[in-house]
Amino acid sequence: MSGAWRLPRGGRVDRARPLRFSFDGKAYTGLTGDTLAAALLANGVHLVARSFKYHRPRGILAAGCEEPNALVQLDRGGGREDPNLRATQVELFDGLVATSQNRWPSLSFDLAATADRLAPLLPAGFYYKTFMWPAGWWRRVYEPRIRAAAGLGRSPSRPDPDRYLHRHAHCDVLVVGAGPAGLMAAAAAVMSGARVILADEQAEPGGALLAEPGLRLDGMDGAAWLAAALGELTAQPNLTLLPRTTAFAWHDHTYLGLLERVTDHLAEPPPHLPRQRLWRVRARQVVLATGAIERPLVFPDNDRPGIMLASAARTYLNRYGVRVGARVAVFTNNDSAYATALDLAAAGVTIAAIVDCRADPGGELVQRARAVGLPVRPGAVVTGTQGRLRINQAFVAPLDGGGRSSPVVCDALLVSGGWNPTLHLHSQARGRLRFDEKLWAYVPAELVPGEQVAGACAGSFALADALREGAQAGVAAAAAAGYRAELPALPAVEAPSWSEPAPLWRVPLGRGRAWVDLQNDVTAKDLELALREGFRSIEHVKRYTTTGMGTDQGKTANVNALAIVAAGLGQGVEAVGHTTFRPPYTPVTFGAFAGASRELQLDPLRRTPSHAHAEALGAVFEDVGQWRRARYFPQPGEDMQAAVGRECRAARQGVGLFDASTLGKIDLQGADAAELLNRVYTNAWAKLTVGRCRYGLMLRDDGMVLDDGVTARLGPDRFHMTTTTGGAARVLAWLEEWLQCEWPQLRVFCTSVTEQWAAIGVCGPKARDVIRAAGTDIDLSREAFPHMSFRDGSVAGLPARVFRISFTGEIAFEINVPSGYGGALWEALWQAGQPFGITPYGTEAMHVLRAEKGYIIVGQETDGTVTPLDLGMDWMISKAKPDFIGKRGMARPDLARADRKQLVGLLTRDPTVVLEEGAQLVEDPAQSLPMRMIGHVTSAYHSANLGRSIALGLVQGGRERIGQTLWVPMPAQPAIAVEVTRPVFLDPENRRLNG
Amino acid sequence: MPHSPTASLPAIAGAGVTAVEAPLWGKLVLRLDGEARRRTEAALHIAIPERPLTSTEAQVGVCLWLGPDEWLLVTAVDMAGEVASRLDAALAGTHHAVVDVSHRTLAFRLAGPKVRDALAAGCPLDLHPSAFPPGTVARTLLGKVGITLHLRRDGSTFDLYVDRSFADYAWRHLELAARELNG
Repeated sequence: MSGAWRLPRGGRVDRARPLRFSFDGKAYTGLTGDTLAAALLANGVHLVARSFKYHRPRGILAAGCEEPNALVQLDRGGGREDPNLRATQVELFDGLVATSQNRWPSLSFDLAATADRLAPLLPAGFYYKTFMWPAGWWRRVYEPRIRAAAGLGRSPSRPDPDRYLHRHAHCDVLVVGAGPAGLMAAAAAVMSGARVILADEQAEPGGALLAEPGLRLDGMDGAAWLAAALGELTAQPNLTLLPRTTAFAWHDHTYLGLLERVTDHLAEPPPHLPRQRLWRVRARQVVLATGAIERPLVFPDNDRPGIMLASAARTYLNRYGVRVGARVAVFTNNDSAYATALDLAAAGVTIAAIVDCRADPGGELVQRARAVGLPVRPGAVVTGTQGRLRINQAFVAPLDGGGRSSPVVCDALLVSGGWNPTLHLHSQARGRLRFDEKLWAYVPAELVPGEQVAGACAGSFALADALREGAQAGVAAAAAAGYRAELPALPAVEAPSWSEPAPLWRVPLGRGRAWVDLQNDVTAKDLELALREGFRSIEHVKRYTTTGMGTDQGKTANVNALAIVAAGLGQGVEAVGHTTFRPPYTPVTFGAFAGASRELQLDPLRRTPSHAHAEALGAVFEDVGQWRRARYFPQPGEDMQAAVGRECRAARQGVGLFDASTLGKIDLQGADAAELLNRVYTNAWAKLTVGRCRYGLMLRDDGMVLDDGVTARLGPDRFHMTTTTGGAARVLAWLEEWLQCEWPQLRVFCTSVTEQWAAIGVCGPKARDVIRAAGTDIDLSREAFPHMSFRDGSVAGLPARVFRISFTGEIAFEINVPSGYGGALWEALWQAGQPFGITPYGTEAMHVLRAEKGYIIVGQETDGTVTPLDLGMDWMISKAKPDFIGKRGMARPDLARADRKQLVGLLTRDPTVVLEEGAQLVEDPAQSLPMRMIGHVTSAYHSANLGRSIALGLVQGGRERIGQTLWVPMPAQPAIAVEVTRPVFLDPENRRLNG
Repeated sequence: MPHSPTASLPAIAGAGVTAVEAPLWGKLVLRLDGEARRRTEAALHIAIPERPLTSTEAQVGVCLWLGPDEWLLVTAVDMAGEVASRLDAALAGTHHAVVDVSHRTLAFRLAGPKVRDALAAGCPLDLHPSAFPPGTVARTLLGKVGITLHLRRDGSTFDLYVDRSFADYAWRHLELAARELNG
């Protein structure tokens, strides 16, 4: 049996397929096709939650995404935990484990409910008023306690094991909502040949047709017509039907975000499916057929379990075969609730009363209710209710105040305060709203480009109108997308008409708190208090009272709140305006937004061609931008300093092997290539001969260092430029910007060849021996192959371009081969180098080696505020060239100041102390705080070759201070004394380099 | 054998979509002004596509439009060097660049009835045949990396060009999407 409150027949559930589930540890049975809320109600469970602030017992209000109360935590095991799911949307599966939230020790006995007794002390804005003193307590005491007491579900504690994907999609017409209007719109558009996506948030398309058995279309009942319409639609190849898919965001230019819940409804999701999919849809036209959401009514004690939207009760009855009570009262200001009462009565439920605030309701449904003898109480309102964990009585009194209230015994009270068209997407698209004083609801004031609206979301609640408007919207959308569309035949409809509703924003009678926002525990009095305290803007009232916030974003609360504020201000509803609708319409998981961008795929991880070889040698890697580079190669028992020391000694005394493949490489060709270099580098390039290389410094137009690297002349009109690893893309974009925007007359083509070449450096006195041993046809002798030149030839049987350049101050050759052979080259050099003790070294040793020589690293010695003069690189600046980028910027008087920070060497008095990079330099460590800082450390290492620590730094007027002692103050340590030196620590004459 | 960065990655094979890393093809970036373009056509007997986002095919290979003065010529790998030399000779005196990027850029060949869905997991372009007809070429994104996408003349095979160090990311991205499509 699937619950005592289940009807023996009826509904779209499968009684042959029962499902076991548990709620708060208790086992229940539901049916295939149920939502968790439906299954709980079928088992007579109305109390499902405690409210956010006061921990009041709460039940199920709605049957859809608007649910403010029934938030549950689902735990599927293995880290699949989801807080704050609406039980009204959770599809039941076998073995589902749900728990209620925000209660202790149990839902029926919640100790924190004492907060409810303190309610007079906790009005709107009480945080701001109560927790002001002492000031320091907010962060340490108040906020943690309030957060612990209030709140919703628990955050997942383990990594999410599920996969999420994205899907880009393009269509002519996106139809949001597959109720009657949406189905007709899709049908009309699809027949024109347009590409149509039809998305509906529910498991089954159909919308109202799923829950309203009385409707007849073309002589069929709603379900039969729906089946036929869907059959026809889904046979069309140009239609994509997306069930369980919520359009949650409308961005600029009809770009919408959709969340598809692919496997959330499955007990055992197949491993090949993603859990959820984020659709990013670029639509030419969007048809909104999003329906409407029923409003609750605001009256004292309107929040007890068992008080439910009338339409929700009808859905539970007709779609799920569940009675929400045995003796049900109805409270309404419009006709739609009568349909619920009639359906319930037909199912054998006793209707205790239909309380209608209208003095003389006279619509077709009202007449039918009267005809079957339902107790209609016109001109009356509910003034209060009773029942701790479930309503057991409602009090009814004449609205005009001219009579006493009388109790109505009931186990459910169904309320309807009218209908709000669902216009969240329209509003996100910047569509304005208009308050309609016939419907007492906001409707679209106009359409935005690319938008059509149809049916209840346009304020047309009658079925015939929804079908017609849907068809018209589909035709209009297809036509606007460039298709010839014809209005399809509309089904003949039998559906009861509605008479006019009456506005009833707040029952003016009775005592007790009247709840406006159930999720945030905001009462009508809270709103009035905010007005008394001077809040006027609805946006301020919202933030002060929290009405309309939370996971439901006030879907059932907002318009009631607006109207109550309007009444308090003595204005019309429209004059008050409404708060801004922002994406998402309903909550979206972080997983869906992240999609595949997590773990290994969080960002591209770029590996060099010889990565596997470095890995095999035990390299420790570091991330340099997206590149993963070998940092050092520890041998057993070595720490980083030992490994780096060994690598540095080898590179100077024997031979080192280094992977330089990540350096940016740009091929420059054209008659003006040398001229381009003359303009983008500070030094002169015209006279560089073919076969030679030159170091270049690139500046921004403000004179600050942008990048550096060695460029080789391959031919009269062809150069091979290298850039820093991190600067590769930036420099290419920089060259293109100048070529395309400023100097279109220059004839130069730039092509990135970073990844065409793998570059392996062989460095040290035995470099020649290793390359010769590997086999080469290039004469490596000093005379034939001087420093700063290159040769084409073969190395280890591979076609190679060998540059004799050095970033270490040693004899060094950088061997470039087509990148597919990078691993083979590394391996060949490694093998050939064994007799010579070849030692692979990583980026850390490279940093130390270059610092020993005082070579800068852009981004380490520079930070966007450093000029070549600051770096002592005056020799890099051509005096002869009429212009280059940065020349005028550098001429600014401020950049010639003698007290600018200049690059110097720093030697600690204690040679074993390695300074911290970024540490500040002062003249007098005894001065009081804040000290006058005159510079900072840019690089600091232990140098095995020098047997001591070394550092580079930028110091005010640094070159004048050479020989002085400065101090590096350290937290909780004595200040460190350093001597200012020239920034070159080793072989200043470059004897080794040119050897 | 040149190294393949996808050799050790999970296969993409099934009823929905298949992908293979193509053997190394010869690839030349051509940057040509008007005169250079005419001489290239004469030297290689191939039409250099002028219309954006299109491609041509001839004996020498496939020519993909990449920009107003930029093309990718895809040839057999052992022909690339020879074609480049021939072009450099034929184009002497014109404004041009012929750059061998055979190793820079790798190619995946993708096919299968769900190939567009697999690509749409990361590519924001409209790949429907009405918007992306056979022969179309586009430089676009797959997730976070740049790719060049070419729908071959058969209308069902895509060649996806991606730079070497991004091939691993691109392959894994496709593989994640293909799991579902290959069921």
